[in-house]
Amino acid sequence: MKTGMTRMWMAVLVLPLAGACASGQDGQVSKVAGDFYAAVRGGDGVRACALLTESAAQTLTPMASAEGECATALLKLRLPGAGKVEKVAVWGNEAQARLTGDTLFLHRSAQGWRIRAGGCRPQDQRPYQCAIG
Amino acid sequence: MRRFLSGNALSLFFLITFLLALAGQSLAGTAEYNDQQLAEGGTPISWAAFVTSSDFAVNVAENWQSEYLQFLLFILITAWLVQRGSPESKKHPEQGFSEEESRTGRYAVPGSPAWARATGLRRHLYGNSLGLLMGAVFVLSWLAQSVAGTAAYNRQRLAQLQDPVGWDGYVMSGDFWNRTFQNWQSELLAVLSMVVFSIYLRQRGSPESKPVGEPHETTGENT
Repeated sequence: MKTGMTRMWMAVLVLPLAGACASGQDGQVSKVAGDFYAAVRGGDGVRACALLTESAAQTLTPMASAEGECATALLKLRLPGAGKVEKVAVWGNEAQARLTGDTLFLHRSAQGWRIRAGGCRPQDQRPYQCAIG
Repeated sequence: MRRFLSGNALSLFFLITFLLALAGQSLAGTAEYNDQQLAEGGTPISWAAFVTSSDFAVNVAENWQSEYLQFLLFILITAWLVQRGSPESKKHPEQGFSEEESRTGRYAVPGSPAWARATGLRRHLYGNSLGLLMGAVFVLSWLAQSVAGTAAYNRQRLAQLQDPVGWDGYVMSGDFWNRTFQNWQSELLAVLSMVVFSIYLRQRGSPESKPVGEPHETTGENT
């Protein structure tokens, strides 16, 4: 009984910390953020659109299922020329990647990390204002 | 076996109902979490993923800390304050502190715990062990609430396109104190109700009540 209670407390204390320190996820988030901007810089809208969540893609065009329309709309946005990833924060299935010229918000789905919002600018206490998402 | 069950029925009843309630919370929590995920354009998760998430941990811990605080206060405050007419109260504030009344040292009786006979720190520790344990569990639960709460709060903030905060930022946030006070107020109300209602109302057969025919004015009579 004593051992059971100890294990229960260990679970309550340690699991959230384990979730908070999801350092293994940081690299995957950085890679998706880097790949996204590499695709944008290279003019590969189709590749960049494939890294967006479905709802983010739908904010670009109501016909997001049509690959070409998403790609065209995305490249027309003229996103800031983002450089390297400076900082990554991962909390559960949500993440934020700060790049030298942009901030991205990502969500982890069954397909892996996908960009939920991009081209984001901070607004004091209010949510970021984003070109995508 | 039968003797064990009947001799420990009270503890077993609360252990089993606690586990059933925790299981129910985990199932209902998974459903609520997934509803929220779908509404935010996110992805539903499994029951196993939910019960190991910070969202589940913060909801469990915030209730645990308040329950242990309730019992900690009840144990400590009833040692010092009196409520006339309540079976939960002592008759006089000084009652129960002397060596003779607490059956410690040379007043220990056959069968008294060994540390009740001991001197110095051991006797002092054992004499306050119930409060110390409740206090320790309260502090650990509250700490767990703050850690798990930071993770759950930041997940939600990122989903709402806001910057995450540190642990120090979270323990100063409205979310932390709203979760804390909403639990504390209900626990304190429950204790107040028990102390006051038990002056005038009875539950036949319960050791938490005065005998049915006991006058309202009788204090500390719950057997």
